[in-house]
Amino acid sequence: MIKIRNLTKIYSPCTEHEVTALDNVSLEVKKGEFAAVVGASGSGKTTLMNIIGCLDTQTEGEYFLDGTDVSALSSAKLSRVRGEKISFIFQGFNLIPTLTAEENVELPLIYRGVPAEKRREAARLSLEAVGLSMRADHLPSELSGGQQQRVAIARALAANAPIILADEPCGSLDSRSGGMIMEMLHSLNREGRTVVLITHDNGAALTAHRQIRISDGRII
Amino acid sequence: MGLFRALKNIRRGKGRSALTLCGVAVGVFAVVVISGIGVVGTDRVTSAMVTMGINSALVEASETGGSISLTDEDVTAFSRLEGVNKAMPLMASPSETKLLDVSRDCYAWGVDRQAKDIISLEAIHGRLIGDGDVEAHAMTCVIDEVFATQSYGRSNITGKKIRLLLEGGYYEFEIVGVAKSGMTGLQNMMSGIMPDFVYIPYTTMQDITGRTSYDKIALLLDGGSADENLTSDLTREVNQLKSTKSGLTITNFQSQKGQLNNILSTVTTVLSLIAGISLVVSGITVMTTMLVSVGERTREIGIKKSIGAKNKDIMWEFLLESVLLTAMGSITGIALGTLVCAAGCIAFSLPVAVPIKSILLSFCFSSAMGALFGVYPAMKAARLNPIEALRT
Ligand SMILES: Nc1ncnc2c1ncn2[C@@H]1O[C@H](COP(=O)(O)OP(=O)(O)OP(=O)(O)O)[C@@H](O)[C@H]1O
Ligand SMILES: [Mg+2]
Repeated sequence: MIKIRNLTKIYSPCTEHEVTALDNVSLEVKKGEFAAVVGASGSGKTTLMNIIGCLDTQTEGEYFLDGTDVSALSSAKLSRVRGEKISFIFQGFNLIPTLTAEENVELPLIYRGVPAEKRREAARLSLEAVGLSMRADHLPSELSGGQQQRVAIARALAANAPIILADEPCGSLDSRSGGMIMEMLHSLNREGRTVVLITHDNGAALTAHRQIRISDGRII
Repeated sequence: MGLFRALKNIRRGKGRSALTLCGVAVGVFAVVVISGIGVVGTDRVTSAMVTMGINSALVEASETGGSISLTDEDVTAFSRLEGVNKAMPLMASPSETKLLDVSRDCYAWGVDRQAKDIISLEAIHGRLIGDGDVEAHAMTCVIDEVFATQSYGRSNITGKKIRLLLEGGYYEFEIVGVAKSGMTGLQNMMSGIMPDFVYIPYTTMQDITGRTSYDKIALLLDGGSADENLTSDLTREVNQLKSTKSGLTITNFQSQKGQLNNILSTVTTVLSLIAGISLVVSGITVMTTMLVSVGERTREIGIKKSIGAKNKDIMWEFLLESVLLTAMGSITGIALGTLVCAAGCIAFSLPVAVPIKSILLSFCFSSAMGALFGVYPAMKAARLNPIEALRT
């Protein structure tokens, strides 16, 4: 599903601020797998996730997503791939502050052109699945961190993308909420979605099928 | 849905959006009011000209012509010219009336039966000056409606007597008719400048003034032929008949009206264009507002892109917002402008005229402005790099 070969990412290449964030990385994640990426701060985990998530492109090397060479896609096609194949769950939740929980959950479907009725139905079901039906009309600022992250998971659920990329989803949550989020990621994985989890937490990483350790931009 | 979201986003910028909206409204307001004045002015002039008879022309001594006296023979001769339907002697004399002991300036016209056709005189009460009055050198007169209502408070005042000051003496005339005055508006507007009109038999006017000749001869031209060529042909022929070179001129109301309208519409257009500049200025305001809004929402744009929004989606979102903002502004401006126009018309007791064309035009123009000035901020938003946008 995700196939990366000899991939290198250099920020601001050919300047004195040049940073090699990923150095000749090769990696494969199979469909239905739950992979955890662990490594020290600054080791290049987020950079890797951005590339896997088609938000950024590599400097060198190859990345195939479901057999398509992502670096060859136009920006419109990349948006489409993001919308249909990938859902992000960020440490900072990344909900839109002016939209209610339900509207946030609906958003990916709007860009896919799903009719309003169906959108609302999907949003409702997803919020129910994360246990937030009662909070559907609340703004993110009216929700706790754990609840916001659950809304983000509901958004991923509604988008129904096969790949979930989670960048330290529990990083700013207490252990109880964090545990809840981890449980939800596992249940998403059990439903057949591929999950790539970036984490500092060794305990959380050990619950994954596989740990990918990264240090200074290299896989070890 | 998209529209609804755009509205919501506009509401988010509360004060900023409101100010931008005001800017657009003021610009559109200026355009609407200025063109409203133009439309009303043109209307007034047109109806004033229609009163004079659209197919009429006036032969009179030119400024350089000196003393050329026009006679009965000339009237007959002129009426036989090609393109001329009728001719009527016309005498004019500034005068003063005394009606119910109130004196006011007026303008006395010596006419005959043909005044109905030639200068489009129309009786609303009583009758016009007829052949009988002309033959009898009768002391009868027709006054115009405005005059009647202003001095008597009602228009039907036939049978009343009126005293006219002509050649230094007062003469008493019987009012036999009240003529419809198409210039009501103009006369109202310029009251004091434009005197009231009184029509009397031209023979009576001759008796009083002691002149046998006429000042002017009014012509009724064949329908539809009142164009520039005919006027210049006639001028030549008329001068030939009187064996002068250019002692006589012909004023054609049609072409005069055209000229006046041209001037008026040029002035209106120029003023509207100047007002249009304010629309451009408000367009720039819209751009500023949108740029600020893009800056504020960078992170939001990043989030949207990360969940599948295409550049195009982001672009439309912002474009729709700026067009909606200007559209709302221009609707406000149009509403205010129309109100002011209507109020102005009522205040000056003119028929209410609304400059529909400019309203539509300024609406389209400002919306286009919103789109045009919205494009740059929208593109800027659309082109944001999602990772950088998310980092903010
Ligand atoms: N836009 C950028 N421009 C230049 N350098 C960057 C940029 N983004 C990241 N880097 C650098 O690349 C390296 C890897 O960064 P990255 O964000 O991938 O680390 P990380 O493993 O996610 O760290 P953390 O655990 O703290 O989130 C770091 O040295 C960072 O300074
Ligand atoms: Mg990181």
